[in-house]
Amino acid sequence: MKFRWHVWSERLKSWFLIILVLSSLIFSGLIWLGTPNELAVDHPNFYSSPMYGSERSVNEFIRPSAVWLWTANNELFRYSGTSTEVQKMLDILRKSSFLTGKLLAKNSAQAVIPPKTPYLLFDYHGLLAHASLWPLAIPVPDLMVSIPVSQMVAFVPIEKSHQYKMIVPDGNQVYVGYLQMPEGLDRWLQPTDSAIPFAQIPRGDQVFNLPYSSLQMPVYAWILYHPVATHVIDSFFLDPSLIQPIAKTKSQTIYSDGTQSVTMKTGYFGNQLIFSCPSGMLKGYQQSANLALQVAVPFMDSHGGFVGDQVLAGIQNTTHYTDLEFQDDINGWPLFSQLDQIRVRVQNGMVTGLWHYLSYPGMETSEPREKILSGVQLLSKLSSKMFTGLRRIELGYGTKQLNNQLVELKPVYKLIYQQKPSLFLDAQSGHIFTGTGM
Amino acid sequence: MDFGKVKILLIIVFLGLNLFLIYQWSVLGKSVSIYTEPFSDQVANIKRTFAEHGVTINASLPPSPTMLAMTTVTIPPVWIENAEEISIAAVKKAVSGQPVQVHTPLGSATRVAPDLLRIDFQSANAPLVIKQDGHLDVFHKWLARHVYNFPSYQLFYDALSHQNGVVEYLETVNELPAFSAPLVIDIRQGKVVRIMQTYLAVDKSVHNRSVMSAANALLALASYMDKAHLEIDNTIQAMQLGYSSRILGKSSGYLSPVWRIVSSRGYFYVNAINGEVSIQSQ
Repeated sequence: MKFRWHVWSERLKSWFLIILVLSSLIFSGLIWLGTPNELAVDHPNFYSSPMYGSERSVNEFIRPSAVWLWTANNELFRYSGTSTEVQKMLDILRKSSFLTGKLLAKNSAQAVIPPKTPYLLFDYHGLLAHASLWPLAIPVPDLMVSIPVSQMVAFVPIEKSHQYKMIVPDGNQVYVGYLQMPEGLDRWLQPTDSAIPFAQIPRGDQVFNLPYSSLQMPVYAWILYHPVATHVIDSFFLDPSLIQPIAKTKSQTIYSDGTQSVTMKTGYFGNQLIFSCPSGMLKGYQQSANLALQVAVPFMDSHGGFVGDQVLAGIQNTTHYTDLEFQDDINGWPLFSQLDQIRVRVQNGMVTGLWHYLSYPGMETSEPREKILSGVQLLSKLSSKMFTGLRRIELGYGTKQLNNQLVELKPVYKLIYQQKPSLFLDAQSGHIFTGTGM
Repeated sequence: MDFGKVKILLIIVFLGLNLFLIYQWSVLGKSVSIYTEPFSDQVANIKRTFAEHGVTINASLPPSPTMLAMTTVTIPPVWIENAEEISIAAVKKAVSGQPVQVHTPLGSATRVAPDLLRIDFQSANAPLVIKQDGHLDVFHKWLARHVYNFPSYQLFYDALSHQNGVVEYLETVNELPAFSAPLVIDIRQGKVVRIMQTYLAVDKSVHNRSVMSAANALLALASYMDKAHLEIDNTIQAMQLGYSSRILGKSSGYLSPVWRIVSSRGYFYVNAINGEVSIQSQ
């Protein structure tokens, strides 16, 4: 048989071509499969907290508990610290400019408010005891002072000028600052429709700020929502798969990953959530109230958010920790209840403790109004025993649980004592108010 | 066209294509290969990161096992009674209400917590167990007879000077020290005056997981400092892997592997599985 070179070379070329085609397919596949995908670097969704409230910013939490207006006729009016009027006053203060200021003797002429002069008193209920909170509380740009003891700050207009005096009583001394004020604050020196007339009523050696007349206040009924706890619990841990229940009783369960714990406890209004990461303070570390607030608010924002209109109501700043207490505000009146109350512990710049009810008021079902006792009527109903050690009286709301789903919010007077627990009185009848979770 | 010529043309094209694909494949192989940072570079990076927070690292980075289990522990209700009996010859109480304090001629026992017992010895009756610093053999034999479950503890540190001071042991869990279960012996003039014992009975292992290295634990701490804006001069002096839990129920608990980082301002505990950080004051 004769060797036919042409035929064999054609066969060889065909096989070679087949091998080349196949190898190109194989290499294409290898490159396709070997190319890395883009990775999404983010927290997996399974341990982010469900949002059942709203995110809020730090400067929304420092509000005066009330702004008192003393008119030229020596009448007293109250603006709620969370009202739009006070918001507008604070906006004007933001546009003011600080001129000068100095510490004076208490009876110095410059520190005395002239008679027949209207002025505004911003009452911060002890928050200004923390110097670091002054920039958030008194938003006057370049304010050169932060006196860490005063409760109230007065803004007094200076006649025939656009200047205001800022008077801050400090023990035996008074700080007097001078501010150049833009137009607008003067209009709040006359009471508006929403200003509530109050009276300073003396009893013994004390004076109480109480409503001048009988107010009409709404009584609310709220339906409680009880969110599912599982995802909220997960959100406190870096790796929820490590969570183990370490103690389980009828009323509470502690979940822990060995470093942190979340306790779910049955309370008055449903599940109480207690987060704890037991810690101590680093030697020499100092933590201001402002820093603690800057840490606590974003932490709450990322763990369900705020369900009410909470404001900062109290601070305990020790060498070991800073405890912040947030309290809800119901149309300008404080809610004296554990419902919607949040307590946060901050140590070394991190949240190491959190306490609040997981249940929260969702829908409002009714809003009847009731006439409450005026200040004079209230004081006439108090027994002499009730006056012993009494520091002040506040008007606000108390809670009473009607059933598992329904909570009633009623106006109450809170009697705050020097050394004993507060007493609550029904603002309509003056009888002792036995509420729920107060 | 002649089909043979077409084949040659196709061979040239596919040959070119294959050469291009081979080149691309080799480039891809090089670009996705894992770069292992040399250990010295890791340490240098960590030191630089901590320096930004004003923290100096004077500790060596110990090796660690690759896998460790978290462990559940129980607090047996009778352990304190047994410990009282062998240490100060206290007679077991048959009543259900446990007394907070027990007194015997040898000393007294105080139940500080369900897992913590304090024994105070009458100094006149206490035996001389340390005749010379550094010679702990006789002392250990005495402890084996007078401390409940002493073999489960290992020596942590010895701060004795002239037969006075403190010797601390830690309970051992999975061959590692349990920082939350210490046995602290207070010694005056060679005699034991006080024993503070925390005891946890190991129950079972759960969640066998990979453990982060010492370098990664330091990075987790640096990340914590970033979040907490911790800008305070500090020196990291030592670090050690062990078990700890600062959260215990009344009768049970959960120990997780932790890196205990000793600094001049306090102790950092970094969870060796998930990197969570807690701080203990000095």
